[in-house]
Amino acid sequence: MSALEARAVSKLYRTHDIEVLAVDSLTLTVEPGEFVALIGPSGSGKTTMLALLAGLLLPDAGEVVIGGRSLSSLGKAGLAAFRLEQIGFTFQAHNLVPYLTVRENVELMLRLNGRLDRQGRARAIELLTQLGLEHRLNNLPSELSGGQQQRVAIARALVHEPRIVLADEPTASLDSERAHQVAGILAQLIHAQGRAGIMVTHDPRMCIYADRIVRLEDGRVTRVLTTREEIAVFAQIG
Amino acid sequence: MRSLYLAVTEIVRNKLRFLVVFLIVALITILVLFTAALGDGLAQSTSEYLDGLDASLIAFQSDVNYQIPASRLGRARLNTIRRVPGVLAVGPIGVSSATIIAVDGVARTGLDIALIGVEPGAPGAPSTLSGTPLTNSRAAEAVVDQHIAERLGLSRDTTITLKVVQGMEEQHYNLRVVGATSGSKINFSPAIFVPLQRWDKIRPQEQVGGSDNEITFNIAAVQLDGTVPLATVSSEVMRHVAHVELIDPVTAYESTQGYQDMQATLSLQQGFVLVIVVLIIGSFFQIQTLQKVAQIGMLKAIGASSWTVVGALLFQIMLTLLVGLSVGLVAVWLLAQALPTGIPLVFSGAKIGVAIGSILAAGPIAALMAVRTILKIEPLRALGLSA
Repeated sequence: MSALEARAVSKLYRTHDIEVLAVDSLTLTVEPGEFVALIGPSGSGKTTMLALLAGLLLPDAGEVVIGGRSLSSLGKAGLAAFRLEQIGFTFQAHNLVPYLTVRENVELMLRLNGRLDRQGRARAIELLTQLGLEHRLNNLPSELSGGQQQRVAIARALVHEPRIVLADEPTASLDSERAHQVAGILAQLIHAQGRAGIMVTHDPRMCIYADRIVRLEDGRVTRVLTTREEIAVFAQIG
Repeated sequence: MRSLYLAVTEIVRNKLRFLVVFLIVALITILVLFTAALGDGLAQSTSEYLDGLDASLIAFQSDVNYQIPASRLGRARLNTIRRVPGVLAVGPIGVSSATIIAVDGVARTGLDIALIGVEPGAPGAPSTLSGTPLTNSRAAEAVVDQHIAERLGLSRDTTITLKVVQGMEEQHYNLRVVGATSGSKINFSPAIFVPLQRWDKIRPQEQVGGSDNEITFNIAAVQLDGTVPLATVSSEVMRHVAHVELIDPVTAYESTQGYQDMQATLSLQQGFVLVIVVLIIGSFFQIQTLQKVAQIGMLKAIGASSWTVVGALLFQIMLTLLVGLSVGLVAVWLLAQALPTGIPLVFSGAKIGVAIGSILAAGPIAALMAVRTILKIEPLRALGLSA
């Protein structure tokens, strides 16, 4: 069974007299252990698609199915509970709670879904160690660099062993070296833990870590790259 | 517990920011408690003597709106009241004012006191904490309030000199202190008690040394024997005795001129302070919530429910109030120890409880605006989108 399925999903934004079809009959399937890069110009529908996959938005047509359950069938509280259990999220900014330490930020996910036990704490430290942050456990986010903050967010996204990991422009605010480091670690952990990962990015170079590249334009899939060669070329020349 | 964790951790990691609010709440607590204590203190200063009177009813001259200085009663009416079934005893009480100007012949800074004339052994006469009660109905003796005794260093057989104005002249009268009593303030002044016939000679009046006419006094304390219901006795007295009205002591002091206005003013002041609490706490947490919109959006996006975030806010407000209240209570206690005894402040458990309850109740009200803001924050904000 696929980890995630978007079946002919559409999303229409209405503001006063203007209607924008942000996502247009988009179909996407992601398998466990697969890391997919969603790429496209601004306004192509990447972030809206991510919101639909997370249940932050509900589609106007089609459906998103995760683990055999349609997100449209869950209420607001059900969707929040679903995200808490099944989704790991990293964002472009405002990723961390500023008054919690690195370890506490990662453990927050477990605390929120009532799974903060000894194993959970150990897993949090293990992840942070894998991400090279073992010496920063008791630091506050303000004491970390942007790249370190993103790595903490990755640990938080994985600590509760979610089915899906969604990353919204995780490298947007980082320099090239740190961007590669973060995207590489994210891909590596997704592969190692068998999660289904989707990364929205505007940076073609980061696609080198993906197993598949899905290019969107005007809410539609315009190109899908699946082979290592295609991906490598795309990552080089965009 | 998630909410409590978030609330406490944020407070602990932002001590300085919250310290300011703790201090504001502490200062407000001090203000609220002192206002309440002042209300009780002033009320007590007005009513202490009447409140502690060993009588169920107080007789006034009718149509004087229960104003003690305006009321005049005489022996004839007193005797008639005494004969009404259900009345056990009646004691005349004369109330005036004077100034103590010397102790044992040594001049002192004038101390204004209430000069109360009572019949020794009758209702209205003070019980003594030390020394002996008044016994002789004509003697130049006095039982003094313990506050006066402490302030002037009076003891048994000390002679105090009173200054009163009679006619156009200032007159001085000596009284020997025989005992001390407590709880005898009336009209904001501590009292000294003298036998009624002596009181009639030395009270401020037109004629120096009093007249030989029948003694008039202001009110009478009426003790009941319990065989007849109070209301029946009251109506019987008013039926049999012309120009007399009877009320209970509480109504009597509540009818004192300015008493209700004073209490209403203090209550209004307390109300305003509570509104200030709501506005300050509400503004602080609303500003803090607005500063955390992105963070709250992120928390909701990763799956935290709105109620987890709202719970954290409510815990923070209540913790802020509890810490501020605790600091305020300690400060009030310390200040109360340091204040001189003459200041009319009475800290009653009930009033303190109501004040604390009111401040705590202000918390959830203050939270309303911030709660509304939290509920309106969409998790989509974490992705830079809006609904």
